[in-house]
Amino acid sequence: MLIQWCLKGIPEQNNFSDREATNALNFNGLSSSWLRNQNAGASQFSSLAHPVLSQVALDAHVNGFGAAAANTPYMSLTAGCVELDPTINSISVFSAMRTALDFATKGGQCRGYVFRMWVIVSPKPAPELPGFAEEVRELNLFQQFCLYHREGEVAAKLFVPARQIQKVMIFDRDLIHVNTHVNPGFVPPERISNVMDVL
Amino acid sequence: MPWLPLLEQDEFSNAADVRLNFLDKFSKQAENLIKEEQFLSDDLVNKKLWLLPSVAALTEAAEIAFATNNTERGLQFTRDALSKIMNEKTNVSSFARMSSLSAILGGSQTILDEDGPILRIPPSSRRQQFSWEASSPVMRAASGTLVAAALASDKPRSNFKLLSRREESGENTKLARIAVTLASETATLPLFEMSRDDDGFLRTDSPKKEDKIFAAMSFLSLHERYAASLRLNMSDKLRWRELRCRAPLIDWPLLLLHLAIRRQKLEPYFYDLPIFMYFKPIFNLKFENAGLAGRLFIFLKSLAEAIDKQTSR
Repeated sequence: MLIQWCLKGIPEQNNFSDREATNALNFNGLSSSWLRNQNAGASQFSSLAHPVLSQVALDAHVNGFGAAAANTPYMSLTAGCVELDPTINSISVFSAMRTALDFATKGGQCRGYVFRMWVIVSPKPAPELPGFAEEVRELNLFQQFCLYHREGEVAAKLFVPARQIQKVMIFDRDLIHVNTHVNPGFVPPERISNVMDVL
Repeated sequence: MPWLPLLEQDEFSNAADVRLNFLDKFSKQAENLIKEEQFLSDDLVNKKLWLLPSVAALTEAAEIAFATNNTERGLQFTRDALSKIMNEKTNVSSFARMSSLSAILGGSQTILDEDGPILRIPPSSRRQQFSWEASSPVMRAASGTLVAAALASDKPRSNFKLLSRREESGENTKLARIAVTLASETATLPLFEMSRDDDGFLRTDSPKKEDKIFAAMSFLSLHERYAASLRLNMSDKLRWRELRCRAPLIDWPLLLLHLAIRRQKLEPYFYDLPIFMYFKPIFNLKFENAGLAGRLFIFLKSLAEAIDKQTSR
């Protein structure tokens, strides 16, 4: 398994403002739209989540987000990517920060939030399994998503726990950094790395 | 008035403005933004991790500006992107981009030399050079772009030393020569009065009319490549509406070929070739009769005209 740092941009809107951003950092974490739509209790979570994760659902999330957005169990994060520009045939670097800011501020039209977090990524595709993210940007694994490579997407499943979210940065519509809130309960990924200390 | 086909002006004007402003802001603030996000140490800051993302944003902004009749702004983005790369130590991966951007602006010279590609940029005639060995697969992948940049450069007929016959050449030179020969853009050389023998080396005599007709057909077929790229962009309707394109909006090598034709004043002769008689309706601006590739031909022709007028002042 790999540990991947990612960003996620969320625009300020009616149901998401500074309070929701800090709540996400402190205890709520970040949830997919499917999870936010559920009214069932915790005991039913497992049975409800079981059928929604699938290759078909991931394809819809990445390739047809316009239709899938309202009820997708996946959550798009970005880790950036390096691409060989197909016409200039030169390297282009699409940073995670640019993609996250693009979504957070709706292309420079509103205030927004950029969350920094880490997720566990499987070295092979497994869209049906919860608990770790899918590295959609990795074309060696996900050739069908090559159309959308520039966004450097990593697709988390269902939710990202608060303890994996390091901080949230707030930007205004001119991409000026306004503030940063750091998660006091953040658990760094080194805690689960395979670097073993001496006894 | 160069406006990219498939972008309805009324529908995309606002999206273009929004996108340009975002990319402009990001490129200007990239250093601070990425430093803030990554808690970068001084060592990492020195590596200029923000530079390539900034250049990518400026190049994308130039594409959108060129596609939406904003040539002057597109040229400014091109200049900004080039100056960012030129002010830093160049690596092989950015050489093709440097050649393209500088060729768009005019006055530079991309030379495909036997030992490697060379780029000379005024006013200081600053020179960048790599060996074919150092560049290897990256440079070979960029062969078509380098050919187009060389054709759009100053003194184009002296920019293809790589294709001059030599008794002995090193292995890397041979491989580079093969890569250039295989590039689609190389098939257009006869249009620029460069003929080649069966081995692909340049000949001293002028190309025959038949070779020029084949070259013209090769040139036209490149517009289908461009059309395919735009169709790819359009397939994601949500992002297309916002001009968050998945593939480049402008086919830079093809634009450079249009610029080359214009700068070498080939147009009157070029369009008299028999093959272009079949395309009279296109040149009479009857868009309703032309497929996408044909309309893209008209677009790039008018864009090259607009760029040439602004860069030759």
